[in-house]
Parts: sequence; C-alpha cells; structure tokens
Amino acid sequence: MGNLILSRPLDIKRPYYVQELGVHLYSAEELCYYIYHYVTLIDENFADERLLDFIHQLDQPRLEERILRTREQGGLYDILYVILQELRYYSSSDLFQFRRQLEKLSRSSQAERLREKGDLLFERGQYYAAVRTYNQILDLDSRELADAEFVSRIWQNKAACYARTEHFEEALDNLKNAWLLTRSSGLAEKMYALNRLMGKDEVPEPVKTAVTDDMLEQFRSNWDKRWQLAAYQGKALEAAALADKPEPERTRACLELLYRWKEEYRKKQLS
Amino acid sequence: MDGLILGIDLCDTHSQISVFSPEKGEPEAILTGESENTSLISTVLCKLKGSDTWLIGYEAYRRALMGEGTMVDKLVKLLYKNGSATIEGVRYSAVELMSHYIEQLLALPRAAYGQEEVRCLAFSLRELSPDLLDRLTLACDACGIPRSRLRFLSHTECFAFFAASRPREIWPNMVVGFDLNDEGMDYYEMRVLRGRRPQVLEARRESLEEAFDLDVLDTAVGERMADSILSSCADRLLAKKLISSVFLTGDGFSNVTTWAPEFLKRLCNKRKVFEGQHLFADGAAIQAYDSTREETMFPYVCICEGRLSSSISVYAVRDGRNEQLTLASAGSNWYEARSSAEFILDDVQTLELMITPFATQRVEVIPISLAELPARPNKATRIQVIISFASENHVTARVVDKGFGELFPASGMVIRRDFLIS
Repeated sequence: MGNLILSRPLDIKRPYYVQELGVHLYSAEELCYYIYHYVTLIDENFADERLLDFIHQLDQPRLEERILRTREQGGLYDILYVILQELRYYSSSDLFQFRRQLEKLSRSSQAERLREKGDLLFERGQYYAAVRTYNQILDLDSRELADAEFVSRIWQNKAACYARTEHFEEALDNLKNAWLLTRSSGLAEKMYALNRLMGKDEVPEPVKTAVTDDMLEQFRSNWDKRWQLAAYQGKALEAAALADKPEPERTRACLELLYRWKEEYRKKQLS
Repeated sequence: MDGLILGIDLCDTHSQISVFSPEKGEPEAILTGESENTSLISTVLCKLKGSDTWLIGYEAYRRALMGEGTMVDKLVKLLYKNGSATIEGVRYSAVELMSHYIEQLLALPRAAYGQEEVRCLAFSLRELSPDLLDRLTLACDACGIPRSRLRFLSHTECFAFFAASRPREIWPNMVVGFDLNDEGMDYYEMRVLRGRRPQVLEARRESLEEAFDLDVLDTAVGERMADSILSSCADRLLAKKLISSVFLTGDGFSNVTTWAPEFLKRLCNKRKVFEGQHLFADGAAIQAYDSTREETMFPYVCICEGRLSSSISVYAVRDGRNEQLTLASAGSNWYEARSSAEFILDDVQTLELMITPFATQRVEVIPISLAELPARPNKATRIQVIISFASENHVTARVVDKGFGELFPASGMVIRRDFLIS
C-alpha cells in the first residue's frame, strides 16, 4: 500500500536548470528526484549559488544553512544526502539505499562513474551529451582503461548514440574500434546492419576476413526479418495507426506526428 | 472596513433586503412603503419606454400598468431556466435582467444608509442549484460586486442562523418555522445537539403539500378552511416534539391573528410564537456579518440543506508524517466547499476518498482507480485532486495529471468520478 505525498505548489520565479538533462526543476520534489535518480550526472560544482538561490525560493532556510556548512566541511555526496534528508521526500529506507549507492560510487573508478553518466544521458535521449561523456572516458589515462571489454563497450555505446542520431558513418567507425578490441561476431552483424542502412550489402573492410559466407548469409537473413518486423514496430506503428482515421482528421494527425518527429529529431541534434 | 452588510431573500414573487448593523448587533429590514410599510419588494422589473431607466417592485407594476414601460416578472425562474425577455426589440438575457434587478435592489440600502460599498452580500434562496448560483454570480459581477463578497445560502440555513442568533431562551429546545407565501408552504426545524464537540446545529425543511392559494383568505369560508389546514399540519408536525419557539413568516401569515385562531391555539402551547416578514433576509444578513468577522458567532457544525453532512478526506504524507487531510468539511456550504490539493503518487494505484458522515463517524471509502494515468517511475507523478459539488449530496471528484515538472511533462488527463454522499 503506497502513500499520497502532499505537494505544496510554489511560485518559483527562477527554476533550477539542469543542463545535462535540458530541463528546469520547479519544486523540492523534483530536486530530490533529480538527485536520487541522476546522482551520476551531478558534478562537484553542484552546490553553487544557483542551487542556493533555488533552495532559498523553496523557503528552506535550514537546508540553506546546512548546505553552506557541509560545503565547508564535506564533499558533494554529503551535500546530496543532506538535501534528501532535509526535504524528506524519500523515506528512511530510500535514504539508506541512496547512501549505499553513494558508497558504491565512491568506490568505483572515474571511468565507471563516467560510463554510468553516459548511459543515463543515453537513456534520456541526450545523445550528444552522452557522446561527450564517453569521449571523456576514452581520454582518460590508459591505466584506467586496461579492461578491453569495458573500452569496447564504451565504443559501442558511442556508436549507439550516433546511430540514434542517424549518423551511420560515425556509428560504423566506432563499432570498428569496438570490434578491434573484442572481435565479437555480434559486433560484425551490427556493422553489417549499419551498412545495410546505408545501402551496402556487405560487412566493412576490417571485418570481412573474420566473417564467413555462412555468417554473412545469416546476417542477411536476420536483417530481412528485422526489416519486415520494423513495419509493425515503433514509429511505423504510430504512423499506421493514423491510416484508419477519416479525413480531414487523418491529415491533421499526420501533420502533428511529423511535427513531433521533427521536434524529437531537433532535440536529439541539440542535446 | 466600512461598507454595507446585506442579506437578500430572493424569491420568485417577492424579495426582501436586510442590512446588518454591527453597532446594533442585528439586522434591519429595508421597508419599501409599498403597502403598510412592508419589507416585501415584488421581484419584477420594468424598463421605461424610450429610456434606460429600470424600476423594481411596486413602482415597476404601477408604471407598467400605466403603459409607461415593459414589465418582466418571475425573474428567479427566468434565471433558473436561463431564459430571456425582449423589451422594445432588444433581447435581454436572464442574467442581464437579474443584474438590473439587483442593482435597483441595492440602491435601496445605499440610499437609506448613504454608503455605496458592499462589504458582504448574502443571498437567501429557497433552493440552491449550481446553475442558478452561477448565473446569480454573473449578475452580481455585472453589478461590480466582487465574488469574494458574495454568499449563497438556503432558506433552511438562514432560518437556522436567524433562530440561533436570538437569545438563548428562545432555543433551549427545538425551534420550528412556517413559511406561507404565493410560492407554497414550507416547514422548518432547527435544534442544537449539545452533547457533541463542536456542537451541532441541525436544521431541515419540509415542503408541505397542504399549501393553498393565498386568494382563499379573501373570504370567511376560505379563512376557516386555511385555519383548518394549518391546524392539521401543526398536529402532524409538532406532535411529540419538545419545541421552545415557533416563527411564522411569509406574507400569508401577515394577518394570521385574525383568521387562524385554531392554528395559533395549537402553536401557543407553552411555546413562544413570533410572526415576522423578513426572517430569511435577516438570517442572510446575520450570516453575511458573521463571514466578515475573524471569529464566528456560531461555533457549530451546521448540518442542513445547503450544507455538507459528511467530510471528505484522504490520507496523505505531510512533512514526513501520515495525516488525514480534509478536502471538504461537514457543515460547510456546498457551493463554497470546492477544494483542490496536489499530491505525488508514491506507489499508489487507487485514490481513496474517505467519506465520514458527521452523525455516525462510519467511514465509507470511494476508490478512484489511477490506472489510466501515464506510466511513470514511482514518485514522478503529481496529481491535482479537485472536489466540487452540484448539491450537498452530489460530489464530483476530478484527478488531473500534472506530470512531474519538465522531467515528465503533464498529459492533462482527467479522471472524473461522480458520487453521492448521505
């Protein structure tokens, strides 16, 4: 059995802007949610004047004071914990879980923390921000990047970001880098699929020698199946749903859908 | 703060207006001089030909009879039906006509007291319907009276508060009232239940089928018949009840001592009996004054027509503690009891509204499924719960999806549930 949490609407004149997510926060609850779910996006400069101004608008003088005190004595994670504790949006068991998460983050390497951040941005559709984060990992000291599997995963994630923004050439280049580290046949098939999207029925050059004719035939068969299924999934399904509508509603709905897709595309490009 | 504190008893045939005097501590009726210094003002409106002058009451009748203007009557019924009337080729909506009527009605206390400002205006109506009240509000908007200064009360509430404002010796036990006029006959009861904290002021109205046309009082035979009808009503309604006082109101009772000896004999049986014309207007003015005070003169929960007999609440977490949060309180005026609150869903699939009747404290739960709301992570959906009323029994609960800021934009979806409370 859950609970209703009473929410007090406040007239916030200067919402807190979260650049990584491209959203404004307007309430204490949203701030808590952001901290709890996106802790890996938060950097050391979080407790700045902007945050204090926002807390001031939330009419939380005690929290303002505690943040200032913690900023002097503790680190970022202490400040985040203080905020969640003071605003009481999450239960004590939630706070316990959060504390565990912070401890885990403290123990993890910089590369792992950045990968979590990149994955979160990817999930939110912030593809370019995710690419920037993955690049930060690849720029790290080589000692941090000793695990070839881990680095291959980063290249793959970057490739996924490029594929989502329809930059197939860049995606292919990143997958090649990933393949060079692990030589996995799964990656070879992904590269074949990217090539098919660009109108080529082959695997790219460095992979060719590792892919037999039988494997290629299997890739081709899998692609055909996926291509056929694509007509009944995702965006195609959204468009198909409009076909049964009577005119002029159908035209209006199609235009609205196109507008939405354009907006989504623009958002992806700008993120 | 200066300004007139007014109570208007708005009926289809006659209206009355009372002004509360804080200095005297009681309301004073505006006497119109239409006949024998009565406070009755006919609910009619007359527009003089070729001019923008509007008249009400007796003068409206007179000028219309002389052919100097066009008269519209039954203004309350017209407003209820949202009708219209065409005068000199111009169509006037019921709201416009009512606003002219109210404007002219307000001119009376303004002239008598030399004050323009209206600090609070309470209407007393026989029955409260949401459409009627909405249109009456619009008519008052047109008169420039801010909505925050308006109150709408049932005759039952006005009767109850009028009686409760009298000295205590008037109402140690039950107080009853009879209202006899051209529109019918109503019986009222009011009593204070003292065993509870806070005390309960309980009132009810019964529309009497035995009502008769006041024209029967024009003949001696008719008077005897009316006396007989009223006597049998008194026998039926007052039997086995401990009654302290009886109030008679309405123009039907204006000469009751001359034609209803048997009825009065039954009433004046160890009880105080009062006759007066402006009970509802006075009751409305008393309530208007009470609403301007910081502390109420009536520390009771009022359970009657026009007031909620049950509380509506939800359990919600406030500042980390689980509390019962009241959205509408028993005893509040249903028209003013509209409320809303915002909540965040923490693993909640069903909103449970707790209905607690004041009399029994037996809680009924009204579940509202939230399954239709967009799927979001836990604690990332804000809902607005709006409770409104179409009468004291008919509740509409609406749940509006407010999203969760820009993190999860609102869908604007509304889940509506209508239900009845006792």
